[in-house]
Amino acid sequence: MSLMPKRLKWRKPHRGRIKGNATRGNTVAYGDYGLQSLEAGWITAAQIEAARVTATRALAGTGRLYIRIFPHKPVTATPEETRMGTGKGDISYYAAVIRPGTVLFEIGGAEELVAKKALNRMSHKLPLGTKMLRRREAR
Amino acid sequence: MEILDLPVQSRDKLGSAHSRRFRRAGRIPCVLYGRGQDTVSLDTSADGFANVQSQHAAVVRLELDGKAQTALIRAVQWDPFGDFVQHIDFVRVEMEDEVKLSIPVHFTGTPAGAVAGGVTQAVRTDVEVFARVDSIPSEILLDIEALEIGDTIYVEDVEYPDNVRPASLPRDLIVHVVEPKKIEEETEEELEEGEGAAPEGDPDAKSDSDSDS
Repeated sequence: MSLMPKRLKWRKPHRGRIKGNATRGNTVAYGDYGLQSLEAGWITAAQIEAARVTATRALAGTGRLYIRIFPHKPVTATPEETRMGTGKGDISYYAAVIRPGTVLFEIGGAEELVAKKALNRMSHKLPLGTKMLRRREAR
Repeated sequence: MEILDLPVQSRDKLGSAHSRRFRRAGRIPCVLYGRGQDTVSLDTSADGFANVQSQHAAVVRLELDGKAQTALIRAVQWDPFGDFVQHIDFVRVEMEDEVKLSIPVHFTGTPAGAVAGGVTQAVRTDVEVFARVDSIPSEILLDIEALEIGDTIYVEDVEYPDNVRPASLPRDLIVHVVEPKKIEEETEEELEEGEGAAPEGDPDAKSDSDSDS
């Protein structure tokens, strides 16, 4: 099941602008390897789910996947063949707002080659440029 | 652990704009404080500090205006992409001081439980310790070859070198071997069930159907 918020304070928020780099959530915190966004944009709940499924298959029972993002933002869409002036469309999907530098997913407890394969496959499910990160050691 | 020399210069140009200029010129802004003395703003070469980091040094000997000062690397700030060091905090220490810091834990061997089908989970990858400056270990090596499924290693089980004692709670888990988790593939029906559930919206707001009419 795709991720979605349990409740919303506002049904149809503005689209907003994505400014600056990620100042939080930009390091590998839980696993050994991470997938970091290099661009700003939205990642939809369906894309997160697609990445999760492909990672589960690539990991084949080894290691653990951490999803570091959540689709908080409802996005509306007007149905096709709708005339002008019928008002704002219904919520179509939910998206996570991503700043450059955000760590999207992490993998822990897997061999490096397996983790790399999984992260590479996940990156193909995402609309943003990404790079692989390694956990930074205490020293 | 060997103490490396790191040449530094005192810095009188402060603030973010000057710091950016330093970084562009291949320097890293730093600060030195501690032991009741004045705080000093410094800068060092990025290449020199990269060498210190590659050797996993915790303590360095700063050479400032002909004087040497032993200092602990307290904090390192990175850019959002983790490529460049932005700023370093140094704390003045003497060799007989006891300091609190994190030491990385490395594991050797494949657990017997993992060979038998279990999954090794390293819960902590570093351990907080109190250590004398002249006895700071570069790493803590744990032999996990004898671990069976269900076995654990806690902070209290680790053998620490002389002059090093744990700062974390004794029962903090470091590594354990667990039963493998079964992969549950979701069926199409389960996926479809999830689509219908809409989140609870603003109770005062008008429904979508009202606004469309």
